[in-house]
Amino acid sequence: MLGGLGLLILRRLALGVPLVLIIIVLTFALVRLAPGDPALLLAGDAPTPEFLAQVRAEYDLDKPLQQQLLTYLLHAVQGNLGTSIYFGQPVTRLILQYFPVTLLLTTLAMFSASVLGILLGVIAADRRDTATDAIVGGASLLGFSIPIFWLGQLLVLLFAVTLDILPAGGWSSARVTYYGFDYVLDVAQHLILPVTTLMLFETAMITRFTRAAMIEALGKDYVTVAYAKGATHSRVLWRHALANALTTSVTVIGLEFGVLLAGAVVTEIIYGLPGLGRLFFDSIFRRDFQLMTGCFIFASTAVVIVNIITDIVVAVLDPRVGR
Amino acid sequence: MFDASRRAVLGGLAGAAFWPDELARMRPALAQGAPKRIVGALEEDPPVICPPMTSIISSFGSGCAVYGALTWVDRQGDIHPELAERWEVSPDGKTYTFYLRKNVVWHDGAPFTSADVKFSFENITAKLHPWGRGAFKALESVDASDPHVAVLRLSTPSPAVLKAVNNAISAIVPKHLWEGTDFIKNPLTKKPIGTGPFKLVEYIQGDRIRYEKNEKYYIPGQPAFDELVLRIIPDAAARVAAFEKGEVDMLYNNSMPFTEIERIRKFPGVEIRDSNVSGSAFLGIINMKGKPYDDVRVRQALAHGINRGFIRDNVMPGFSQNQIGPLPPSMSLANKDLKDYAYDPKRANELLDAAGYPRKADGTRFEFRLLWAANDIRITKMADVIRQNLSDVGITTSLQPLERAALNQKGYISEQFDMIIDSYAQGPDPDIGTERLYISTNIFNPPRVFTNNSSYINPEVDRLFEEQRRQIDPAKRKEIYDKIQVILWEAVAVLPILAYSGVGAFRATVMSDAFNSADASKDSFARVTLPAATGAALAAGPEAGNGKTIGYTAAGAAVVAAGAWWLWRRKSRRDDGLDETA
Repeated sequence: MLGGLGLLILRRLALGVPLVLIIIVLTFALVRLAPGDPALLLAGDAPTPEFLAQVRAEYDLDKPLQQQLLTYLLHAVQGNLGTSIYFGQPVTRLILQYFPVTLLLTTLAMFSASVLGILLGVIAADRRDTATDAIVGGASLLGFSIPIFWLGQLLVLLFAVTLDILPAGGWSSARVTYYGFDYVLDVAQHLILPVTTLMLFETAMITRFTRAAMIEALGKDYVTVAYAKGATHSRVLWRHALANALTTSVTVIGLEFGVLLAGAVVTEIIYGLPGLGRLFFDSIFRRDFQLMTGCFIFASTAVVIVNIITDIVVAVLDPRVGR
Repeated sequence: MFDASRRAVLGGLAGAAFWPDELARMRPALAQGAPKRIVGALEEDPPVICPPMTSIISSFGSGCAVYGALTWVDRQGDIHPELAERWEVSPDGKTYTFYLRKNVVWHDGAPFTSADVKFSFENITAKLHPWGRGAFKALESVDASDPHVAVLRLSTPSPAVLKAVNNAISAIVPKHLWEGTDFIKNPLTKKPIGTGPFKLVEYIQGDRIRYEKNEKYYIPGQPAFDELVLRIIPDAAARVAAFEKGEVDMLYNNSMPFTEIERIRKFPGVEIRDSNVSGSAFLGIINMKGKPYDDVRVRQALAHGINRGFIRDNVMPGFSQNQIGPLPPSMSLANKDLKDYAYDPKRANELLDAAGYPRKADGTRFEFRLLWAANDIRITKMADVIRQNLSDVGITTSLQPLERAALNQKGYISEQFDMIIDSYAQGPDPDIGTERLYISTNIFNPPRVFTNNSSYINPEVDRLFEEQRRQIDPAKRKEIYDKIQVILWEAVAVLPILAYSGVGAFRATVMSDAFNSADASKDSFARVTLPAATGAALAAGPEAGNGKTIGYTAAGAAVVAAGAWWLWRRKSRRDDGLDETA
C-alpha cells in the first residue's frame, strides 16, 4: 500500500509543479497588462521625469515583459520573490512575517469547524427528518448564507462594544503590553471573535457535506451487514458509516483550508489582523506588483500542498483511492 | 524593571488563570505600575516614516512624533518656535535667519546643529518632497557657519518659506546618519532617529508602531506620556468600534472616517478639533483643451449647474466650507469680495445656449466625462449629485470611477477627461498649493500628475504670480493676489466643489489639549497633557477588565463542555435502547 501511496504523492507533485508555474506566468502577465503605470504610483505625486526613470530602472519596469518574467522565474526558484514596491522590503520576508497569523487563525477555525461540523453532520444524518435534523439544517443554512463581513461587524458590536467582554480587534492589547503566558491569553482573547467568524461558515459547510455523505453511507449494504453481525448502533454509526463518509468531509476540509490560507481577507480586515489575506488585498490596491504576484504564488502553492496532503489523508482513510 | 517583576509572578499567574477571580484581583495591582500610554490608529502601514520625503498622510501620522522642525503651526495658522527659538527676516525678504535652541540632541545622543538643517533642507525637502520643491523654489543655500544659527539665502523674496519650515514638509533629519546614504533605501526611513518627543522603539508591520518617551526632549516635562502606540487598522468600521470601545484614544485625518463624525461626536468623553490650515479641498479640474470646455461660458455653466451647497450639506456635513475662488476660505490671502456662482440651472441653460450648444432632439447637449479615484466614497457621492444636476441642464455625465493608478494614467497623463475631482492641499501658502494649478510653466508634455492639468494659459496670471513673489509688504502682496483671484474665478479652470477641515477626535478622559496643531496628522503629541483624573482613568481603563473576560470565557467553555457531555450521555443511553430492538 505504501508503494501505491508513494506513487500517488509523485503523481500529485507532477501535476502540482506545472500548475504553480502556469499560475506564476498568468499572474505575472495579468497584473502587468492592467491599466496604470506602477512607477507613477511608486514615485508619489508630481515626480520629476528623471526620478520616474530611476524608479523604472530600479524595479526592472523598463525591460520587455518576457525578460522581466524570465528574471522573475529564475529568482523565484531560489526563493527570491523580489522587493515590495510599497514597503521596500523583500517579498519573501513580508510573506513569512504575515503568514503565521493567517496560519494560526485558519488552523484554529478549521479545527473547530471540522470537529463541530462532523459531529453535527453525523447527528443530523442519524436523526434524519427529525426536529434535531431540521434545527441543524436550518442553522447550517444560516451559517452558510450570512455574509462574513456583516457577521463579523455584528459580533464586534455585540461582544466588544455592547457587552464589552472581548476586544474589538487587533492581534494583542495595545493599552497594556503583556508578557509570557499573559501574552498568550491576551492573543487568545483577541482571536475568539475572528475564529468564530471564520468558523461559522466552515462549520455549516462541513455539516452539510458530512450529513449528505453519512445519509448515503447509512443506506449501504455493509451497514445492514454490520447490524446483522450484532454491532451496536453507535459502532455502526461512528466506525462503519463515518469511516466511509469521512473521505467526503476530509476533501471539503482540505479544499476550504486551502481557500482560507489566502482568503481570510474579510475577517483579517474587520479584526485588523496582520495576516496574509490583508497583505494580499492591500498589495492589489497599491498596485504593488511584486508583492501581489508573490502573495498569489505563495497562496496557490499552499493550496496545492494542502490538496496533496488532503489526497494522502483520503488515501490513508480509504485504501481504494491509493490503488 | 517592570518586565522582570512581571515574569517573576508569571509562574503563579499561570495557575491563577484557571481561577478567574484570583486573576481579576491581581491584575489591577499590576496595571497601576503600567506606563501612561496614548493609543492612536493609523489607516495603513506607512510606506516610509519620514515626513520630509513624501506627502503621504500616514507618513506624517507616524513620523511627526519622532521628528522636529524649526517651527510648528497651530490650528489657527499662527507660527510658533520649535527647534528655532526665534527668527529674523531681512528687509529685502531674501534672508531668513533662524536661531536654534542649544539644548537639543538627537535620539542617539548627538547634538542637533545648523548643519542638520542645511543638510535636510538642501538634500531632502527641496529635492524629494512633492511640495518642498515649490516651497523652496527660491532657496539658494543654507549658511551653517554658526552651529546654532541657520541662515536661509533666497534668490527672490519668498513669503512661503516661513510657512514651510514646520513638520509638515521640513522635519529635520540627522546629517551624521543620513549623509552619503541612498535616501530612498535608507533603513532610517522605517526606524527613524529624530529630535522629537517620542522615540520609535518597535514597528510590527500590519499591527502597530510603538514609541517611548524621549527622556532628553528639550522641553522639560514634555511629553506627558510614557508611550505612544499607533495601531494599524485599515477598516474604518473597525477603527470606530475600537475607538467607541476605548481601545483607541484618538482618530484623526485619514484614520477618521468622515461618514462617522456625527456619530463619534456623541460618544461620551470625546472631544473634536478641526482645522483647515492646510487648505484641503475637493477640486474639479476641468480639461480646457477640448470642446466644449474651452469656452468659458460652458465652464461657468458647470459652476451654476452643480448644486455645491447641497453637496456640502449632505456629503460632508459640519466640516465642509464653501470655497469661493481659487484660494481656500481659511487663508488670509483669500479674496472675500468674490461672488459665488449660485446654483441656478436657468442661468446655466442660458449660458450653454449662448455658447452655441443647444439641446438636441433628445434634450441633451453634450457628454461630460467625470473621473475620480474610486476608493474615495465622498467623491462617489458628489458624482451622483453632479450627474443629477447636470442632466437637468442637458449635459450627459459619464461617471468614471477609477483605481488610483488608472486615474493617473487615463486622467492626468492621457487627458481623457472633462473633469477630475480630487482632493488637494492648497496650503500652507498659495505659492505652494495654488500657483501650481494655474501657471503655464507648470504644464508639461507629457503631462504630470497634480500640475496645471486644466492647461490654463494666461500670460497676465503668470506675470502677476511672479510679481506678488517680489512683494515684501504683505498688503501689496494681498492686493496682487486679489487681482489674480478675480481673473481665475472668472475663468473657472478649476471648480472647487468644497473645502474641508482636517478633523481629530480624542478621548478627554485619557488626554487633554490634543490636536492643537495645524493639522491633526502633524501633531507630535509633545504638547498633549494628562487630564486631571488620569491615573484613575488609565488604571480603570476599558481593557483592565481582562480578568472579567477570562471569567466569562471559562464559564462559557464550561457550559459548552457540560452540554456536550450531557448530549453524549443521553445519546449512548438511547443507543443502548436501540441495540435491544435491533
